[in-house]
Amino acid sequence: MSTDPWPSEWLRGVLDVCVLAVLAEGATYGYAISARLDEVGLGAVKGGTLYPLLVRLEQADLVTTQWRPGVGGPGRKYFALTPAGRAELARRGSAWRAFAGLTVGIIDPAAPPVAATPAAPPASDRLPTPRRTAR
Amino acid sequence: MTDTQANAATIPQRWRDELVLALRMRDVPGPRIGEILAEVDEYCADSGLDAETAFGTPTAYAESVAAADGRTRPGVREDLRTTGRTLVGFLGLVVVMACVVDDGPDLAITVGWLVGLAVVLVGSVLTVRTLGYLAAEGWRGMVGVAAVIAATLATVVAVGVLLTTTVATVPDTVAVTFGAVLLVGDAVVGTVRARHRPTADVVSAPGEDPERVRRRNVRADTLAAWLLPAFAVVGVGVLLGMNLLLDRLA
Repeated sequence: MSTDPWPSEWLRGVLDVCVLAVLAEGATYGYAISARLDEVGLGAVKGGTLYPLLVRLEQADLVTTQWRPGVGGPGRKYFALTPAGRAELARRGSAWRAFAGLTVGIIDPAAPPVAATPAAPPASDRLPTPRRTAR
Repeated sequence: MTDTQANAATIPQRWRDELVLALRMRDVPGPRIGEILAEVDEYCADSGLDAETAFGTPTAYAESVAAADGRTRPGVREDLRTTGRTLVGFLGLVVVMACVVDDGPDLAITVGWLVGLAVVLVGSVLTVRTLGYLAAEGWRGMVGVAAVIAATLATVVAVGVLLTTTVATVPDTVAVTFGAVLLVGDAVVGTVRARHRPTADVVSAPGEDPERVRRRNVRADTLAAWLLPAFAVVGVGVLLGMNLLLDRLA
């Protein structure tokens, strides 16, 4: 797990599309989303940041929720992507790739250009490549 | 304790109570509060983090999650309405006790009484709002709330002592009847409100039967509604007993 998160102002812009990308892998629950984001290098996103974001995604009909019973407690709340959520992921994903390519081009003009694609890539390519490892 | 006891095991009671209060103050419905508590419970159990580390202070998290829900804290007008409703029984208690303490056959309503009542109303609203803003500040917040309560009580006593001009004189029998009507009326209204409390206003964990929680809450709220009349009866009994004792000793 990474312990040195990216600047919060960067995360603020990209977190929702990353959460949508995690959910594109399949329905899952709060901590699993957080752990997956940490695993791919985004850092440990705390519950206090994650759940309000999930509420906004749910209110925008991008995700649906379902409580699944647990042993001796209220169980787990699972979040799943809706068709509108998949469409939003494709749209935002495409926009982010274009933006990231533009940014890289500005910072490092010698780097090969990153092309923006209009359609969503395969699920395995949707998450950023892990950049940070456990310390 | 009546709300979502299942969550109490993993969420510290104080953090949980402050979160429920902060969410209530933002008019978040009971089932949604239960769900938020269950989310915190689930996340803390899965991550091994405590609630404060994973979600921050209860007030900040309530603000964040309520904003995501599209809810904001009620305004001063709403606080005045709520506080004014709770002061009806309190006024009844003060009138009844004043008649018992008063030696003469009539109860003198002074300017201090009227100003004091307004001060209590404003002070109560200030206390509620201070509690909302300072709940996350720990003991410093509690000191702030205590300071507001102390200032309110000091002002009430000061105006009661200084503003002694009599506005009206009411026979004790009329005043006691009026006070008793306020006390009992407030208790009856409180009981009716408790019995008709909508299920949507009940804090229940996902999977918990809201009706069962509601019945539990109705019993607790009904008991709370009759606390002031009970206090008045005990208070009047003690005062009359002391008067009788003092008369015999004299």
